Amino acid sequence: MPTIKLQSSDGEVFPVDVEIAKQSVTIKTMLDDLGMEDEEEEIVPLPNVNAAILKKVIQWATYHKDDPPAPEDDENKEKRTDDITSWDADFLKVDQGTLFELILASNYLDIKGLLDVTCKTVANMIKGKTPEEIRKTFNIKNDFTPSEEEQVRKENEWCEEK
Amino acid sequence: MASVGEPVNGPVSTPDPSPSSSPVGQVHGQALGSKFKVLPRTDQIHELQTLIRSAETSRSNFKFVADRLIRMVIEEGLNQLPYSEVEVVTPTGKPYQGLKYEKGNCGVSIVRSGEAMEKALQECCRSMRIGKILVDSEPEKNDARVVFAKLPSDIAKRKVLLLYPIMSSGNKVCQAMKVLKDHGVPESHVFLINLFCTPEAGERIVGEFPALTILTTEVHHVTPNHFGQKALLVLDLAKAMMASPHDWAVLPPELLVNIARKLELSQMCCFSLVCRSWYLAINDNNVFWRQMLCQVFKTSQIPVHAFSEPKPDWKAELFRLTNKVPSVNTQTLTAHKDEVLFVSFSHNYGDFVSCSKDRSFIIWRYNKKSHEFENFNTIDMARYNWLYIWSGQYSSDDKKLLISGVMDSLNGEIAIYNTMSNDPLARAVNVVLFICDYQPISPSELWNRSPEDEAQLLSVENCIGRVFDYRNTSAFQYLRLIRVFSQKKHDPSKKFPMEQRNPDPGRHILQEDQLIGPECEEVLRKNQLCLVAMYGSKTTVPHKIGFRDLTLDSVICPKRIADFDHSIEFHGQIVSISCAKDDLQMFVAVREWPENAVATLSDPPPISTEVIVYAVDLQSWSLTGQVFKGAIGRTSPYDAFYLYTDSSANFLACGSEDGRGVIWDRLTGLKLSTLDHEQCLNCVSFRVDDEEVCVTSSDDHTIKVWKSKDRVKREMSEILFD
Repeated sequence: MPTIKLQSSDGEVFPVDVEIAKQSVTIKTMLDDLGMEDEEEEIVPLPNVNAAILKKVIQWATYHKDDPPAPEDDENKEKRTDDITSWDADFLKVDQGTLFELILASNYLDIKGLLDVTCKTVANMIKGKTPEEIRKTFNIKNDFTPSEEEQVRKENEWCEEK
Repeated sequence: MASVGEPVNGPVSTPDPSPSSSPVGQVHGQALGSKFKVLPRTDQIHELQTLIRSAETSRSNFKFVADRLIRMVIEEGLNQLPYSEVEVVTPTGKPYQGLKYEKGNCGVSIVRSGEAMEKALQECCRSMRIGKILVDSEPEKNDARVVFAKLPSDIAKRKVLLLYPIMSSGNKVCQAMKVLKDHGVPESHVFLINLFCTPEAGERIVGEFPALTILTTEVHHVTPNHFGQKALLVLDLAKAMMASPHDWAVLPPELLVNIARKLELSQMCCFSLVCRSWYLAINDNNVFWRQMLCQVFKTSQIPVHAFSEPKPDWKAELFRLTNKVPSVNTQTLTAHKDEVLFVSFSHNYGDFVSCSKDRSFIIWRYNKKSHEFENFNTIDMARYNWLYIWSGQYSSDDKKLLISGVMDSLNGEIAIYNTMSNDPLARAVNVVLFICDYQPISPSELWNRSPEDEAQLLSVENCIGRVFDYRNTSAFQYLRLIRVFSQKKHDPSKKFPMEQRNPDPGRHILQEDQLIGPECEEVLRKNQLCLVAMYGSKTTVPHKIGFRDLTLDSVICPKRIADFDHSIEFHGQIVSISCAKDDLQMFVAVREWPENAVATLSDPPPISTEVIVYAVDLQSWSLTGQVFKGAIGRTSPYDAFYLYTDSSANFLACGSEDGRGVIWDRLTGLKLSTLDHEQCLNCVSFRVDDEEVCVTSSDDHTIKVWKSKDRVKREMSEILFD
């Protein structure tokens, strides 16, 4: 099984099975375009992902290497957030900084499954909370003026009515 | 108003208008000397200023307008910078004497509102460097303090365009000027680019920095102070791209959208309220709202072709489909003592009539204050030996009410009532049952005759007999409902999608009872009319809709019933037909037969429990392709129940034997709302002048009033306000 070497932003190099790395559409495109498959010694630099996060991403991709390819984004699909597998749930028991970085990394590397499950995790943290509780959870400053806040509330309160 | 000093530069000189034409509060800048330049107020500039000041301007429009005005003042600012003469060679080899912009300029924005002007500057001068000065001001103390300044190191050698849109006191600009001077920039090298300025700020700055050049679009005692907030809200979105780590407020918008897509619609208000960047990520994101709409209605297909250009605002559509459709049960009326078979609204006043098996009909009056319906009068028809009341219809002026009832299994009667006094005006007896059976007779203009004539007119046999010699047809042929409506022109090329969404009240509906006498001939000469019937040819239940153009000849020389000009086979039992109020479409509710079913004269095939409503285009006499699903039928073919459908400009509703009536969106076909009763829901009627209100009648003896969420909200605030 051929491997490639992924280099994190802080210089650490991770040898990874090509098939596992190809779950990242970004890396897959890179390999396909550059024809790098034969060059064993080629190092793929990933300037947007640090070693700690890259390690997590590789861990996730290794576990999910046999997953069927992600279905096309289907608007018809009912959006569920309670279908996170227990392995993924354990995997995502991380601090918020790591979760944040994982979202950015999975977006940059274009790994749909990981992006999906990390965003679901965040969505679950938002569900049922008031705006103030959400701000507290994510340490976000309320940067609306009172009149803006009132305006935004008026614009959107119809969403709430069941 | 004093006018002193002539501005130096031609293009920015302000003509001195007569004081009387000057808008209230506006001050002219000439008093402030030649270095203070106000852009000439063209109509265009004035319009932009007006839009920026207006409270009505939407945020996206505001940004567009603000960007235009900023661009204008910046272009003017660039005119102030030095140019040198240069000779270039054109593609044909000829020399051309032109101007060349001299290097060594830069922009400096005063954080934060000045940053809103950076984009326009960079669009004009792509490589121009931009520095920033942050001034912390305390308006109460009339004080300002520089927090930080990030300027090009060689700024002392450069000409500086200082960007700051709104000047009320001039504090911040004075502080920023001091910083620039400390960095060695000569006053005369600074050009302040401003949009709105108060006379006080203008005077102060001109006084303190006489060599500074100031460009503005308006000097006015009142500055639009919301400008900074609004402009920056837009700016923040761009900043989010340069997110600092772990700051959830500035996660890139596409990722915020990805998270929001995993939430329910009911959480979107909270989501928007968290902070500006979260709000901005979803608010104007049309794709997001379309996805949200699909999610709410669990569909992947919205027939976008049904919408005319421009593309729909999906957030507004979602609001309409969830908040403007009747879905809240606000009142349950329990006056009837037996099954309520029929309800129908009047045309103008929001009143409606209900008809019941308890042998009475009730006129319900709308109370404009409480927004509730009150029992205005109960009329007992037991005195005429009516077994039950089938239907009731208001005349077009709402003064008369036509009631049809059943005497026994063969005979029916029709009566006309005065809606004001509830006096009976006329009664037609011995009407053949299959005519008054299920027949919602619409208002007729010929009702203005004497009551005796009306009664005569209403013996429906007359008109049917004139059009079709139904008595000569075979016994199994089945004619259920006849309706005549006007048709401008039968045009087969006109197919779905319908372009016209609003009803055309000018249409003339002709009723069967008009098809006699000289008036009828007159109407037939002037209009192209068409007759529609549901009927059966293979078996004893109706499974076809037939159309026939009506001409004088066809009335005088009747044809056999099967001789329709055109018919549509539904391969199922038709349980309802109704026309849209604009007479452009008709809705046919069908319980279908199994695919290979063979209909025989003695045995109609079994029927599906699913009721499917088809839209028929009355211009082309063809199916539009629109199908509405969700209503349920339970009865067998032999006693299949008639379920009424009703439509408004936007909605279509159908009764259901499981007690769960359905409202669909006519445009998209989406199922929007269910109207729950405990037993079979027989009839539904939209308020004619307000489709956000409808009533339903049921075998559970009740009538329910349904209103949209938005209407309920408006009524509540109205009541609170009173």
